[in-house]
Amino acid sequence: MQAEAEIRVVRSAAGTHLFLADGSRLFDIDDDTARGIEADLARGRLPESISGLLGGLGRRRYISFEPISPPALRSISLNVAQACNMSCGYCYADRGRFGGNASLMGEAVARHAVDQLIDSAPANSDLVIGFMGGEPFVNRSLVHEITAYADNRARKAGHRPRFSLTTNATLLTEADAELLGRYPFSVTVSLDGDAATNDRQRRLPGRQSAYERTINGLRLLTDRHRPRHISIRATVSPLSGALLPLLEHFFSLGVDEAGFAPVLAAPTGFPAFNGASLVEFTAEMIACGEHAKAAISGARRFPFSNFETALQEIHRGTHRPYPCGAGAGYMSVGSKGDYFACHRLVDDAEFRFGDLESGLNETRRSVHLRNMHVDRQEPCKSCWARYLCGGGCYHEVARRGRLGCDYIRAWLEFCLAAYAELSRSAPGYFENPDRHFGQPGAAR
Amino acid sequence: MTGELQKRKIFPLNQTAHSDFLVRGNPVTTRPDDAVENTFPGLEFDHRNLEKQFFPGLVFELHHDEAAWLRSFDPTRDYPITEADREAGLTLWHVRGNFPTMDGSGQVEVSTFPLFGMGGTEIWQILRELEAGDVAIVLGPPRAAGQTTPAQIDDQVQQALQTGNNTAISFGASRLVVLFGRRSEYLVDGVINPSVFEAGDLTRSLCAPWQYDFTDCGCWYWASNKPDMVAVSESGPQIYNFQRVRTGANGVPEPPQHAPVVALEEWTRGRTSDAVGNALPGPERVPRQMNHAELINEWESLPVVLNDVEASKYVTKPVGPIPDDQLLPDVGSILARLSYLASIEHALMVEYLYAYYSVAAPRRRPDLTNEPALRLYEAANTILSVAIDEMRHFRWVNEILVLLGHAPVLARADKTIDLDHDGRFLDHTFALIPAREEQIDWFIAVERPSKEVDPETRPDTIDGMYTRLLFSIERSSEISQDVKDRILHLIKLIIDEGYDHYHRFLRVKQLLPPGPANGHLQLPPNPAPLEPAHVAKEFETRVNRSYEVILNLLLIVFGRGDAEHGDLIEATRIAMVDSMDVEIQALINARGAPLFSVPQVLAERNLGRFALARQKTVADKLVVLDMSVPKPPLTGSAKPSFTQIVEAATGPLDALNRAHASAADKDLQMLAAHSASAMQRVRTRFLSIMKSESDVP
Repeated sequence: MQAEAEIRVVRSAAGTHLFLADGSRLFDIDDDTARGIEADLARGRLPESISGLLGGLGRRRYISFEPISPPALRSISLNVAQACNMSCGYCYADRGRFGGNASLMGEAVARHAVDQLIDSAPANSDLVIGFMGGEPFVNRSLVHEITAYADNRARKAGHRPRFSLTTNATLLTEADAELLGRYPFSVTVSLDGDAATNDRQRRLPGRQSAYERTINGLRLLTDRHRPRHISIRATVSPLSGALLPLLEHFFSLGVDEAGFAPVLAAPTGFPAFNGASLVEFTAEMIACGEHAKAAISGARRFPFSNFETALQEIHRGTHRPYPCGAGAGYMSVGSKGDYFACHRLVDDAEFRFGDLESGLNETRRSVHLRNMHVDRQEPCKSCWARYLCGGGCYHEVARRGRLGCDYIRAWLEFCLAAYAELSRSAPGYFENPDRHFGQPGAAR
Repeated sequence: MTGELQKRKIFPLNQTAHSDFLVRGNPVTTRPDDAVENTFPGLEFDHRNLEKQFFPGLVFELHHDEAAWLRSFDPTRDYPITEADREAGLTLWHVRGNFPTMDGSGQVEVSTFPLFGMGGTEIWQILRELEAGDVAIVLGPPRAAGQTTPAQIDDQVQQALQTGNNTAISFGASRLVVLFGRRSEYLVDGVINPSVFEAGDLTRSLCAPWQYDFTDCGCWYWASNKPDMVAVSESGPQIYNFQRVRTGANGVPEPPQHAPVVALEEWTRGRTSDAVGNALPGPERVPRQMNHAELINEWESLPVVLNDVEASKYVTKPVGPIPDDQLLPDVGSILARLSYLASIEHALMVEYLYAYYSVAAPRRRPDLTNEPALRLYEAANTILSVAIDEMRHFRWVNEILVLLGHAPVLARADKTIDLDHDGRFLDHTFALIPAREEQIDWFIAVERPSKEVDPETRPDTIDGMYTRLLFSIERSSEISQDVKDRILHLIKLIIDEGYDHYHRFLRVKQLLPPGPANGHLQLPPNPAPLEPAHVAKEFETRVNRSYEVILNLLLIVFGRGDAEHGDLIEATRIAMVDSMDVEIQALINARGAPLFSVPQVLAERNLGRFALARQKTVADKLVVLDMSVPKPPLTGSAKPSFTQIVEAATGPLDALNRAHASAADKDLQMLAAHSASAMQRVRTRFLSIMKSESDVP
């Protein structure tokens, strides 16, 4: 057991804390204990004072070194349109075509995928069906049809279906918004900032402002047919500049939540982040986090999703040896009916796990889960943050390697400290956020 | 273990940490390092429960008054115990295991303790000292403290203990069982071991902690902010029950103004009528004590108590500084003052002791219905308690002197001195006076807190002198901070205790018959030495020698510096309790009175390793040590050995004991034998403590 991979001493305004990777356990400790631990860590030794808390050596570990067996699918995404009406410079999907030819998913493939999910799920499951693209509303009729079909079939089979959809909202019609409001949808709208910032990196064919079209679509959702949950996901490039004004702008649009994702893998020619620019991005994220922290302390909503998700995960002590459910409980179906690990890896042969006709390739899934276990990754297995991070997005790692590790560690360390502070200044937030913000039972 | 726990303060913060660290059964307050160690029945948890399972697979009952009963055993362990044995009654007879050595070094050694004839709490106190490692226990039927067993049975037990095998031995109709195991560890990483204790095991004998405990406390040992007895007004007597019902019900005014309560029954039930049933007027009524329910509901409404006076509101007043010209100018005058105070403490201690012995009080607490005897008993024992404090002050003043590089002062003042030549002093000639009213008034005057004395018109008190010393030492530039810290702490303790003495003597005055009455006294004022032919003359001499031995021993104690003080003082107590007290009782029974004659103390011989500043000591007029006494010749080396030093200290009694061993008077013979044994124990203890150091005097 490598000491520095198991233990991290974190300091916050609330004191000194001990983070143990195994089980993502966080403790308050006194300064003397902390200094003793750090002295041991500097020498690569496991501190005797907390040996009883560490797993291993015959004690149960929260995370086993054994990979998990492929679980039943609970969640699929349907790449209903491998095509997009926009041409964003950074798009991993190359205008939704994923490096191939633009194609739309046929109804038979979509139904087959939904049937397979519903039929193979254990009884009484929570199932999620996602619509991805490209831009899903390029294949509008399929989205409408499959939503109704899947909802009906799943509920008849005793499951609880939910839907998700990621859209640029530029094609959204009143009828689309009505659909998203009627069924249990979680809608993510891609928007990268205010008009100037957004339109700099997100373009519509011709000279039309993508920003205005997106806002129009968004209004249909926020004002007329509000879905169960609506969030904005902003892709951040080294050109984005200060992030806090962007967040404030997003919240002025009336969404439930907004957050950022940095461009780590992009087609040649687009400025993706590198080591130096990631340092600036980290600082921007922390500035937003500080703002959100102060807001939570003061019982004001400032739903910065990256921060709040991290806080909730730290509170629960979420720990996992994989970055996400891709290839495990989650699978994406390409327009031709092939299974891929996730929507970002559609048409990548490396991450193909069978097809609808022959079913999931369990052998390949097993190999995937064995190979991707974070304790088998370098340099992950010697990193204290590995069970919070999971080893990084498969797509990004496959394309560019692990560039963002310093950012992830710095961000998580900030969030750990913020959690320690908020667990004192705003403990009610972790028990019931709605009540904490003074809206008992309010839907978010 | 304690050290390790103190170093480790780790508390869970997020949910996985909580589930990892806490959900093993007991709440966070059961962390042993957070708990108050006490059992009546305990504060956070009842500590007796910790040791009930000290031996693997066995559960003992430690809440019983007569023994530690085996309550259950694990039948899968193949112990040679049957359910019938247990039903018939098995108790803990002996325990053998690793116990801390008595020297406080933290080392352990294998020791065996007999446990039969003890109560559960007493046994618990021994078991809680039992450290990890191999343990052997002997179980048997209930056995009284003095009860012996046949030699043949003892041999079988010894054999079994040597073989190391679990053994059952027939013993009349029942059986003895010898078992071996490892002491159960009740902690795992500082957390109560969940495999030994189930949830609730440790708190099961607690009911409503704090409140229930407050009512049930059997040791009269509550914190100063929740005392048992309080005064209800500044400078009023500290005789009122803090836990009384404060409703003003039954015509009892609040605050109450009743006479001291001497019957426990009145304390708990209250008193509204006199012995013949006539209703008492309000002011004389005694309010009853709050019951459990009342205390649990209303304990938070109990008033604030400061300096033993209860009140709802306090305004702090800053202490006015002592003017610079009142401070003692240098270390020399500080030492002179301390030397004087040492001699005063010594003189007061003797006056208090004489007053204590003068009260014809029963030796044991009388029956509660015998109020006159109970009053005398309480009065005498209150005086004794102050005398014992005064011995401690005497010791502390000497510690301060030694810390400042001065020789200890064993001198006894014969009168007070106007050290400041300003006429402001309590003029007093020390004398052996029984506990009559004017003597108690003197005790009250001398212990009166200085803040009750108008410095312009009233004389300096002892308290005032210590206060002056405190400020003088605090301001002194000649004394290092390190030494100051230790000294000031002791002086503050003396001042605080003096305040308490004042109140205790006020109480003594209320307890004793008023005015010139002397029917309660058994000693005369200013006793003269008995005629040589008097039947009690030898007893009188024995008391004087006992006093001399105690001073000799104290000189060793003070001279050895403070490292061994505690242990040596304990050893000196043997001489006080087992020798002098017995001698004085015998003397009084023979119609004599203790003289406490100032002996010639063999100063240089007994000072041990302390370098005596002989000339300074002699030049200091306050010290009445007779330095002119020639040193007895030493055989062999020029330096006395530890043995010689200690033998010289007990020498005055040893000589007498040898002479009285063959006396015609049987009582004298018995006293001599008793004393010889006590002196032997004193010497053994002193030498074992002193020889634990490598240096020679």
